[in-house]
Amino acid sequence: MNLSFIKCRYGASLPGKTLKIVRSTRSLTGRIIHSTVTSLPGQQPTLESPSPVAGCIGIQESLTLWLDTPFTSKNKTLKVLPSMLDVQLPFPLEDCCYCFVQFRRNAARTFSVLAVAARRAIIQQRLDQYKACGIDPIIIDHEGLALWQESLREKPARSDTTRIIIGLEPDHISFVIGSGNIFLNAHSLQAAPEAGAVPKPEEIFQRMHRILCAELQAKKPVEWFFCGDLARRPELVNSLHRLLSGEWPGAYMVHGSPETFLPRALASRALANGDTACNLRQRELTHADVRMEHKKRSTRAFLMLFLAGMTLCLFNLAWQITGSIQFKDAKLEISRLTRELAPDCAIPYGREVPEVQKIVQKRMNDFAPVLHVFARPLATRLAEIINAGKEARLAYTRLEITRDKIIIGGTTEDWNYCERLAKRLENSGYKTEMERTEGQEDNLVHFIMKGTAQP
Amino acid sequence: MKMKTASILRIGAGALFAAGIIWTAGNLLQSGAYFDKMRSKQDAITKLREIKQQNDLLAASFDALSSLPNTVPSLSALASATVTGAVAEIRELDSRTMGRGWGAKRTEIKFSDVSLNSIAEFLRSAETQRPPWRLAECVIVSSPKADGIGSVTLTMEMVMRQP
Repeated sequence: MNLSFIKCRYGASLPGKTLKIVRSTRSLTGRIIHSTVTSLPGQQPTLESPSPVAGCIGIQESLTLWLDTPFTSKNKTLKVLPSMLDVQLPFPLEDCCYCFVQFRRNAARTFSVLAVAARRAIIQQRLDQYKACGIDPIIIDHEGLALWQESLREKPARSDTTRIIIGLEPDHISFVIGSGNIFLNAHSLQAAPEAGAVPKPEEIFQRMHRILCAELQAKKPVEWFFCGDLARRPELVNSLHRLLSGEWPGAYMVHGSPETFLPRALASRALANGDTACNLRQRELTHADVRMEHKKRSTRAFLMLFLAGMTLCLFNLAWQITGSIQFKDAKLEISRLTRELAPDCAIPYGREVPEVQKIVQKRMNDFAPVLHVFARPLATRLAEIINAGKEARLAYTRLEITRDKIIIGGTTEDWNYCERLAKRLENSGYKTEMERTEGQEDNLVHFIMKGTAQP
Repeated sequence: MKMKTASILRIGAGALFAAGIIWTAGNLLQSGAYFDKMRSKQDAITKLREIKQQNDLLAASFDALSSLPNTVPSLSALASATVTGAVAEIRELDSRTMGRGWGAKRTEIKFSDVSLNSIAEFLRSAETQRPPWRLAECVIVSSPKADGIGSVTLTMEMVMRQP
């Protein structure tokens, strides 16, 4: 879901029914800047409008699981995921909101997909809790994923190292297990039934131990990370770490400002809107602003479609009108030329050129003497041919010339001298034929050359 | 069921776009035939303009002829003046009406045993008359007696205005 119309993000968490809000913005260098939003007790927080708030559903109220699909194609995988999730869920898929947040290829090139699901009624309850605090979150993220990703963002993972993030909140303890950059699982424990009581480390350890034994091999090295409101108590963190590292050795670290770690995580994820983005606020639970944005986008898309359709129709109309005008103009021009060249003749449509050609050709033949007056005189051509004969050392005995043809009879001393005259006539536009014979009595070459003027 | 205005507008936009696409496809399919028709018309116009050029040349020739005097230069006088030592036999071949008030006349002139150089002089003189006599046909048979001598038959043509 693209929420680019929002320029900053708020992360809001409700640990122990206390609202914590962090405002996050991205600087020009890409760094995310967080600031805590404070509000007076009993008063609603003042946020920028529209309120781009990301809330979350708790780990204990939701489900994360990796689905191993048999497909190597992502499109095919996407088609079967809801059915595969439906099989795994203890309640009908129709009652849930779900996201598929991470796609990972296995060694066999098939996809493993991380699914997040929660019952719609639970999400509605969580929204009501937020609304009671004066907040209407656009995004309902998953607590475990948010903790995992923010921890990686603040302290990048070393490859293949197991990391466990423990969120110590007054009302619950959440812990997220991952390896390298990969989220594996998340669990949650209800803590301290008495309000304000600090949970005992031994009690927490015992309950965690049962779960971690199922998830981790004994003595496997682990990086321990602590966050949450109670992570500010060093005695609690030290004691818990001592107990845990006895089973799974490894150093620990407390994230900076641990009390705002979760809202910070939610705001960062909402701002990043990356591959693992998750919003369980879906269908009828979708935020009014998002719906409005969808509606606007849809309206814009249809408006573009309308404009494109209109442009196409106008273009086609213009094309047809232009084509029709051009064709009409061409017909009119033909008709005009025909009338001018053959004014008194009725010529059928489509026969203009041959009919006009015939009429004009007859006119040219009829008035040929008029054209001859201004054409190149035949006498000039005759003079050229006589001179050409002299140059070629030919003696003409008979010469006949008309405008169309020429016949020259004569003698010469050399067989090849006639070629010069033939070439000269061809250059003047005649097609020539030549007959040559050796004279019996005079040892001269007798020739007859016929030339036909080419049109 | 009453349709929402937004739905009607969306269907309308989709229908308009579909209509635009179908119309464009139709036009593209017909464009080949249209361009063929236009090319054929353009070819016809080009050919007719070429024919018109010939016709214009004829019209321009008539205009030029109209400025010439309406007298017929005498071939006999020209022959006497330019050809010496030979008598020209002059015979009128035909005289025809061409139309538009103009006619053409053809005359044959025969010279026997004449110097061919003087024939060239005769032709030059005839061609430069106003209106000019034009050579239409020529037959020269050289004489075995001497070089540059022969019998010559010329067919001369003239255009003249008719009364």
